Amino acid sequence: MERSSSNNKGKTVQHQFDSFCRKVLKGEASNYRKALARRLQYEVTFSELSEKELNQLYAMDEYATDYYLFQVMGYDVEVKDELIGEALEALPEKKRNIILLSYFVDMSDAEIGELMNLVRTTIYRHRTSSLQQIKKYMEGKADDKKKSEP
Amino acid sequence: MIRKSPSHKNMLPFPTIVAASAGNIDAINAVLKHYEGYIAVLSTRRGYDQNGIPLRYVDEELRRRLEIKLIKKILAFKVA
Repeated sequence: MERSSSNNKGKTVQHQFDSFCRKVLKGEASNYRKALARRLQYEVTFSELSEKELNQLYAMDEYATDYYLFQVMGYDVEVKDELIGEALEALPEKKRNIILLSYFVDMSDAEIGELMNLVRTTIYRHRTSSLQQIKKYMEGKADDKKKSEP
Repeated sequence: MIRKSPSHKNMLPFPTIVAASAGNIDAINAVLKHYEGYIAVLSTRRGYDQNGIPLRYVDEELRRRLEIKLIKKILAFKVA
């Protein structure tokens, strides 16, 4: 009698174990499928990304040697473009300061004049003539490049 | 003649279940072997090849996941 009952118990455990294993496997498979479906909602191919989104995926290191650094009246001005940096460097200091203050720090002629103890018109004259100088310098550089290239 | 359903036909022997839940490696391997076919069926996925012809294949990642999950759960099984 006891033997048969222990045998029955074994049978029961066998059944329990079998259904337990099947349930575990089935549940895990459905979890996997659900996880895949969830991921699919957010998956985008690189070719579908807009340029703006692509740009968010990486960052470029910036080094102090990569740009020209000018200091004017306590402002640090960084100039990335090589040609403009060189042209600015070729200008006399006073003129360079005016250009930097007006175009990089966004000051008006009157404000700059106040800062440098000059009249607004003087600043204006300096600014326009420096622009001409820069233009000449850059054109000369561009011509040099054209000559050396072919 | 009474036809037994497939799950009744072959079940793991009781001692193997006890040993597997206690952490016996050979017994666990026997359990994995026993459910190999079912795992393969569950991890079969439908897809298309380059020419657009439907085909079925076993998702190896899913297969591994199922095996790992089964091992974890065997150890949690309590033989009442």
